Amino acid sequence: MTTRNVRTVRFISAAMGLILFGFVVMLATREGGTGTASRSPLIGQLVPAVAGVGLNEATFDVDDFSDSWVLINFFASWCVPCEREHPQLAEWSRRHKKDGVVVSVPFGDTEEDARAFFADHGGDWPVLMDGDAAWAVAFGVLRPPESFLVSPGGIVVAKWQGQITADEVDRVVNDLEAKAADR
Amino acid sequence: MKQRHWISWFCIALVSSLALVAASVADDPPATEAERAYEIKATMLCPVCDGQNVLESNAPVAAAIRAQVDELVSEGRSDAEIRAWMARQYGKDVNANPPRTGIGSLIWIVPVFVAVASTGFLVFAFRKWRVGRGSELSDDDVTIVSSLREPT
Amino acid sequence: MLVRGTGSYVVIALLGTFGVAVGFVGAIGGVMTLVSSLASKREEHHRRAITWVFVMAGGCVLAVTAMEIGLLRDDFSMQYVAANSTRATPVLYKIATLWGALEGSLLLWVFVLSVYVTAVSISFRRRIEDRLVAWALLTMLVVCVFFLGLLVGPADPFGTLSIAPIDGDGLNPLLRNHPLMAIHPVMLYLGYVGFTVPFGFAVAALVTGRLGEGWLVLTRIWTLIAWVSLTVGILLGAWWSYEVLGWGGYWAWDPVENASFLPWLTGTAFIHSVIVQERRGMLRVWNLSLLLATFALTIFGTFLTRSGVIDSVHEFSASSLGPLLLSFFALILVVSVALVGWRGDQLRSPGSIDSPLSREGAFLANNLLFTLFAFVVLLGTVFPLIVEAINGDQLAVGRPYFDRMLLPIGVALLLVMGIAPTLTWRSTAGAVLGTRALVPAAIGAATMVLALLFGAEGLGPVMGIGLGGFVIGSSARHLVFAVVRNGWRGITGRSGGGMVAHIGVSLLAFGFIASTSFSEEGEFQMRPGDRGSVAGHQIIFVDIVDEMDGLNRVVRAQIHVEGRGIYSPAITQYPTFGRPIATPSVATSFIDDVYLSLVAIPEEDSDMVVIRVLVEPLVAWMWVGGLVIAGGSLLAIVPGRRHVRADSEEVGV
Repeated sequence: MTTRNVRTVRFISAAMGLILFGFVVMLATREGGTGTASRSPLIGQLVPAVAGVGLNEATFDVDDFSDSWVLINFFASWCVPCEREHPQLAEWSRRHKKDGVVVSVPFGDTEEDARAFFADHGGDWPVLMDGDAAWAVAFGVLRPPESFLVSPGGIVVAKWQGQITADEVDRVVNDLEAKAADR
Repeated sequence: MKQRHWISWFCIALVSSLALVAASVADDPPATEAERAYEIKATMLCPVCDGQNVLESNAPVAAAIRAQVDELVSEGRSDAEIRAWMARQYGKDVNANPPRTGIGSLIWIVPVFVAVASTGFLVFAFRKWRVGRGSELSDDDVTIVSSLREPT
Repeated sequence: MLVRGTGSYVVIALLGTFGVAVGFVGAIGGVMTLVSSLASKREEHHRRAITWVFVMAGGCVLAVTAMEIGLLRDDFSMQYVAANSTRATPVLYKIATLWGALEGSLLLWVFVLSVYVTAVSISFRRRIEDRLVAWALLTMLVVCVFFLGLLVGPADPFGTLSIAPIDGDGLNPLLRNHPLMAIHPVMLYLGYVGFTVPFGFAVAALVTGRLGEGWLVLTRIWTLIAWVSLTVGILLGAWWSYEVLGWGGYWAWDPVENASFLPWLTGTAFIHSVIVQERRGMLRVWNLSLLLATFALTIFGTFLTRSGVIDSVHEFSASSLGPLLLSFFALILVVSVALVGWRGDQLRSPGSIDSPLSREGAFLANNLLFTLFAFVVLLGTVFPLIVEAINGDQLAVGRPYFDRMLLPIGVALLLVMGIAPTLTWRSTAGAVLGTRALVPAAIGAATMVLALLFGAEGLGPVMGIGLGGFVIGSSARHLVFAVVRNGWRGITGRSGGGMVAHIGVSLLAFGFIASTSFSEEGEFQMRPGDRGSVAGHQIIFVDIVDEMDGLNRVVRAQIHVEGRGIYSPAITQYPTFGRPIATPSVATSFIDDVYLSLVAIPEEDSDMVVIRVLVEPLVAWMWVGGLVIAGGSLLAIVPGRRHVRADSEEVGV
């Protein structure tokens, strides 16, 4: 009886040890969290519908811009990185007067604050209110700022989480234009 | 045991079961659209706030999901459709309930297995203890002793 | 004003570094003294280790003092102060900033640990020549060496900046808007760290092979102190999140909450099953395993919170400590498993449990349930990691899972808790049980009827409430008989204090069940003068107050809750912190809480606010229940009447 008990105890401790060892190995070999490089199920897909009357009373429909680049930017007036990236959006918009358009969509923000934000920081591109947050959900926006680049033809080609620069966006634009030219 | 104890126990059992029946009858499954939407929001995690569900979170993305859940429920989408849509948009980890299929189902099965196995082990241990015991004290002995000790 | 009084200020950081170094040297000195005297079997040399313990404690006191001076005097040449404090921070929060971030929290950890080790050394100074005590002290000192080593190297809290900024960055505002933040972590650490003491004695008992009951008696009080601190710490954390976070809940099954809950569960299992060992000499392997597991889980929790493995609101910034903590965790596991396996032969229990229907049977059931509870919580916490490691899927395990799996276990625990005090040791006759459990069961049934009359519904909640009544009935019955027999000393000691704590658990269960199952909520868009009503509570929006509090813009909505007075939930915009933070306001009573939070503040040229109103019944009972549990545990620490004739005393009723 004694020896059997000892064997039971040894067996159980060995088994527990093995399980725990596996567990520790799993924790130890785990890779760190993913960076800000953003995957999105949207990339390669047709852009979800974004259309409406902007804050400047002009109507906008993303489908009307199927022959140019569209940079859809989700922002909020309370968000500091959004404030910082704003001049970059203006810069990109200036660079692509002919072949591109920026659209800003306030996220978690009020119309008044968004209006005040644009009055303060400038920007003449369309700003569309996302009434029932349908676009934010369709784009899977987590926290502002987030930006999506739509290629001519209406395909989402890139997503950025966090502050962007005009150069960063243009790198993707130039890349894809070069590829298109190759073909 | 005395007669009146049986009667008292019977009354307690009767009252308790009636109370429990009354309690479960009063509890109805979600019926209205608002209740359905509430249920979905309560079991969906806010993707940026670690643990809070979208019903409770103040984060803008939670507000966005809340608004869309209301919208989709009123459009007549099923719960499963709405959950699947949100999981596609924000990742599988927005659903607070782990899946019941695939490898995720282990989380539901393993605890039940462990519970059954450990209870089984205890029952086995009791058996062994009983066998290993010298003189057995029967329940009758205990009854006699305790009734003698009890000042009636 | 880049650098103000450089000389005198750098001194403080140096002082801190010096303190940490002295502490580290003290711990190493103690370890080496004990190792050499244990190896050479010179018991008279054990005593020298105590001197080293004092050196270590002195170093830790110096380090903590240096950090507090730095915080209070706004010495921004210290990196930690610059990163976590500001000039405008109120004094209380300046003090509490010590445990607001990673390095400081480890400093507090080490400080608490050194206090515990010093207290153990002092209280065992006359028995230090005992090899068991020496081994226990050695184990604790090894733990000290590890944590002090973290402070010396990878988590140095006394780094300095060559150019001191004019003002610091400050903590996340959520961590400095409620005084509870100043106590909750300290209590939690007192509990967490306190389990090092019984762990030390468990290891010592295994190493020396003296597995008799002696070591249990030695550690009982330490285990209880750690347990009650952890209990209070966890409840204060729940209370804090209720008062501050604004969603009206107190427990989110967040990984870090679970990390603090896991050692509590195994610790609770231990303080129950240890009674069986004391009375009957059984369950030795089991009790030792529980203590080893409890300590291992505290280290595991530390790993989870400080390595960035799991996303959580409580998480400290990701750091390089992960691998170190994981290695230490692995070391503890290896040592524990090996020791239990090695001593397996001596752990065989001499007694046997005669009948499942007995006190011991109830304790076994309690342990089975608590272990299962802990297993489910652990599995739910790490399952996303496991799945991710296997197939890369991202899953979440949230509240609905824990609710569903833990509800049956919780209900079963309440049932056992109610029956146990009516059972006798060895075996209980059905008739005895029938007599003793009658009144408690009647109280339980009456509680259910009462709950229904007050509008409770749902099988689970009503059953839980009924069982809570049953527990109160049987605990009170036990206490009444104890007091009749022994006077007021009947409520002290392990069984008296335990019963008081059980009543506290029932009150907590009532509060938990009622507030989670029967809360009602409403959201109102209101202009000044508008009224709203939720669950029979009339609220009137009186006015909006928009003011500057230093650099922060605070918008308060003054809301009159009928019968309770004016409450003002607020939204604060901190200049250094992006999104505005909402602060709820709670009108508390013993019947229900009216929980007000401001969802949206008025836009320009409008006076419309959006207010969320949550009516949660019996929330206050949880905090009262926690207080009763703590009181009961303190009563249990007071030595009660020796239960020499416990068996007969129970039967003689």
